[in-house]
Amino acid sequence: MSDQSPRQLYAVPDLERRNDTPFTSGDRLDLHSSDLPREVKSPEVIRAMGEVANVFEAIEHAPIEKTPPPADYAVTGINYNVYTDITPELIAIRSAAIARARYDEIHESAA
Amino acid sequence: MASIFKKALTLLVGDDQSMPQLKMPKLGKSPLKKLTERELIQLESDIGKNIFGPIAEGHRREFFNLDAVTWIWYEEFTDASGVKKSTTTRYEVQGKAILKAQDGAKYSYLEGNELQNFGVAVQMYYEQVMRGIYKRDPETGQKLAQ
Repeated sequence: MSDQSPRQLYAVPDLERRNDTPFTSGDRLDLHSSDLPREVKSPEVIRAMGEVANVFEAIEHAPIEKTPPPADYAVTGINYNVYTDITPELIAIRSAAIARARYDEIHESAA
Repeated sequence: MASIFKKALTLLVGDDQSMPQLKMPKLGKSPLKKLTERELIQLESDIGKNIFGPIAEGHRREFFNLDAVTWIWYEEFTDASGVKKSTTTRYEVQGKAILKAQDGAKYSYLEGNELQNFGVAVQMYYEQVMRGIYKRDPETGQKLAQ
């Protein structure tokens, strides 16, 4: 790594600006015919909305490089086949625990 | 060496709990004194980048937890024409979903096998980093006995 902070090096937005990131494309998929004013809810409009939604859906699911599986037991010494119940919630817990351990290490060192 | 000395001392004078003046001095809480956040992340990445197996010659890979809600995968290599190329993938932990952003342009939520792959990688990283760097029991989060 260079002398830049990891956040600068990998162009990660500051936490306080997170809410401004353009990660809201999914909102467009939430459009529903009932959202339209009653007077414009014609079959043509509804069909057009469906086509627009399909376009966005295609973009959202465009093939991009996939996260590969971790290496096997021989390389890592860990049999990850035992991990069958991993959820986003568990990932969030693990992420927070690592960040907390790092924070504690830095502040214990400073003390 | 210290344990041998301690054992010898215990054999000579008995349990040092009753004689505080004979207690062994602590050698420091951690071998990671004075490391910065960036240095700690680099240590973590040294573990993280090997989770996915051997790195091809000429490639550079980093995989690390940046903060409580961000993971980074960085891959750098030189293509056949000698041009250096790199890809930065950012994973954003959003509680009930993981958003993947590649090179700041392509966004998708992890699902299916890819979510499982990422989750297993996080779990492996967690277990190895907590034990290997922060000397904590991954199960309890408590400091391991030195």
